[in-house]
Formats: sequence, C-alpha cells, structure tokens
Amino acid sequence: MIRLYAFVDGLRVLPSGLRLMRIHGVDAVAGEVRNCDDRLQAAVVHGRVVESLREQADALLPVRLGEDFVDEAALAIAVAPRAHGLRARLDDVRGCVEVGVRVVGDVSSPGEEPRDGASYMRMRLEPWRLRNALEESLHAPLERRARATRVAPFGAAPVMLEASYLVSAGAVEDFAGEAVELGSAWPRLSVTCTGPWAPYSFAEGEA
Amino acid sequence: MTALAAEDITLVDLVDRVLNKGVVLTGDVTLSVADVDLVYVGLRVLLASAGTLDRLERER
Repeated sequence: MIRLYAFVDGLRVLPSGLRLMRIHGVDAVAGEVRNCDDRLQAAVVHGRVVESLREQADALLPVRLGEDFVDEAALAIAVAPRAHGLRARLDDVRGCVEVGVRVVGDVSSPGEEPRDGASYMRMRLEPWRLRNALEESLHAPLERRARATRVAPFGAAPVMLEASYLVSAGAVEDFAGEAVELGSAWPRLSVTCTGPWAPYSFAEGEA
Repeated sequence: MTALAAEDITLVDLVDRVLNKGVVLTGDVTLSVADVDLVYVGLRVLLASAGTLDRLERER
C-alpha cells in the first residue's frame, strides 16, 4: 500500500523513504505504509512528512490523510482527472505558506443575568458584535497582507475568529507580528498565531 | 475550558489540518481516536473541553 502525501513542484531534496512520481504532468510524493492501529500517531507522522516536504519545495499541495492506494497505477488513475486543476493550484500557492490565526476568549460578563427580554437579546448579540469588530479591525488588515484567506464560519464563543492566511514564505514574521499587535487591542481575548504550515486550507477550492 | 499548552495547540492544529484539510482524491475518510470520529471533531471541540469529547462518545 502506498500513501499519498503531497503534490509538489520544484522539489530540491526528496526525504528518505519517499518516492516521487510524475503523473500527468504533476509530481506526487508517496511512501509505503503498513496498517497502523495508532491513528493519531499516523496523523502526526503524515503532518511531519508534509512539513518536511514544504521546506524542500517551491510549491506544495498537502494531501489529506487517508489517500492510500494499492500501487502507482491506482494512484495514477485517481490523479488523472484532477491533474490540470492541481497544476493550476500549485501555481496559486507557489512561494507561500499558511498561517493560522485564532482568537479565543470569554465575552460573557460573569454573574450578569438578563433583567428582561431586551437585555437577554443584547447579551446574545454581544458575541456577534465582537465577531464583526474582529473581522473589521483584525482580520481585514491581515487579509490585505495575504494572497488568499479562509475564514471558518462563526459558531459560538469562546472561539471568536478562526482564519487561515496564505502568506509569502518570507513575510511570515511580519505577518505574525502584525497579528499580535492588532490582538493587543483586545485584552480580554487571546490571539494565537500558528505556522508556518503547508497550505492545507488552500489545497482545494473554497468551500 | 481546559487550558492547552503551546505545544498541545500546535499538535491539535497539525492533526486538525491533516484530517480535515488538503487535497482529497477519493472522498471522505473517517479516522477515530478513542472511538470519536476526528474528521468531524475539529479544533473547536478539542478547545471546548475534554467533557465535550466524553459527551460525543456517549452520543455515538
């Protein structure tokens, strides 16, 4: 069984234990795998392989864990209908990495109980007001620095904003610095920047 | 809410990406840890609390 890890372009060094296959004009990196009962461990290993490839490639599209094939012929059949789109998407992410930004915080007022229906509705609205303010004053400036963005739909506190940004690999430190600086305007919220990651959130078209 | 150390957050972020994002050629896969489907249990739930995971497991 072979496991597909990523599609790449301009790979400088192939990490040991992996194989590079050119399929319909796209370079795919895969490796032999055996059944693994510890699936969390499998996820961590998959992620580390992808990150090691990111450091060696000009462009990379990570593949979600679980794309396993009996042999190269089966892999080629699966890739064929997607080859053109994959080549175009590799161009979209070339030279870029993904940076994650998450804003978490408890926006409720401890001990405060709604006095009436109107105050109850105001309390319910508060997280949405905060979310809108975050989109305007934190997400928007970061979006202007990014080639593309993906923002998770707002669910509920405490995760007030969760977004991924496709950023030039050479601009990650400046980007993270601005995220932290913008976040300092919100003392009750915690702004966490993660990455750089392979561009997982930009590997497929926008949902 | 359970506080997570920085390295735990990074691990959760990594696993969340590996399981939920990236190129998909052959359709959905469902992977689980402790019988909880991780494909549908993303970072949001893991940040919420360990109790949420327990509840999800009971509801299965």
